[in-house]
Amino acid sequence: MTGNKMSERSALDRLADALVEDILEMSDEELIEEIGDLQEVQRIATDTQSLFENSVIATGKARLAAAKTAVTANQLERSATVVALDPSAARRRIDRALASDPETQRKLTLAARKGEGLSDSDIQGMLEDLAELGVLPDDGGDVGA
Amino acid sequence: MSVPDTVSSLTQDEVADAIRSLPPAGWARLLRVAQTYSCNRPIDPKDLLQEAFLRALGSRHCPRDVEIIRFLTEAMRSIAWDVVKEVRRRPPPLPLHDKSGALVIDPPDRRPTAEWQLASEQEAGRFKQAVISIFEDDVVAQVTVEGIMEGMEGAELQELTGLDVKGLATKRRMIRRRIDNTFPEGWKS
Repeated sequence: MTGNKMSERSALDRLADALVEDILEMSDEELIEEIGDLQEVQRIATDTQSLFENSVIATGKARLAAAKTAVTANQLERSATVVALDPSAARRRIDRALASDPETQRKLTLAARKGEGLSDSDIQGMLEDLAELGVLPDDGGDVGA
Repeated sequence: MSVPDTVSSLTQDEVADAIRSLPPAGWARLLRVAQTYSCNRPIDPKDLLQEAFLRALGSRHCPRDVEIIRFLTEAMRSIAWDVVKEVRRRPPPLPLHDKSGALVIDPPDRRPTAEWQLASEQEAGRFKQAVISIFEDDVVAQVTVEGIMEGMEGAELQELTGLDVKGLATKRRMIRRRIDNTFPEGWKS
């Protein structure tokens, strides 16, 4: 019955399954009796609960890291869209963005609103800021224009 | 990670709530399962249980009609099986120095060989024989263990052992307790 040398691991796996089935079928009372006393069961429960709460924290951290990665990727994507514009297209886009968002327009200075006296890099920075704020409309074909 | 179907599966918060609401015996039961599945495997019981918790809170979906302990048990089983598969793919670490004490500059091929896989199987074989040998004073228990190892269950196992359902359950419990007592730290080669 034990001759098949290439299935030794499988034999042990089947035994483990049967033993685990027994553990699952035991009543709580039988389990407590087997462990010894309720105090010891409580100690094991406290240790295992702590293990679980550590897992909850680790999962939360992993989700936070994933969310940060997604936000960074999103920002890079928006920046990439802005960077693709030439200076004159960028100025036209700023005009459209401000025209479509009076609230933002009010907050900017007159010069900034008209894009006068601003360098190309100022314009580029404004575009990136507006993209981050989510008030930048579609480029309307200005990319590469 | 796939999106869970929250109609047929618990949400992650529901999984966490179900685990937190376990009675003390439930937590102790989980650790017992982890100890059994980590026996003769290169993983610590608590690491196995923690990995099951992580998967339960993440990638694995718990069907609503499955008890949380059954769900975690299945997760531990899957992890424990994967650990062995991984070890079989990865040979033991090589020494940094050769027999003369010189640093090994050009290590040999690290791909697992048939010899390495055979050695892993032989190790399992030694544990299997060690388990069978602790029932030499109880022929029925020994036959039950061998029958289980061959994949027998239910009526087939009853026929082999001559035990009824209740007698078989009692024998299986005795077998588990004796294995636990003989190998309290599992089988580590």
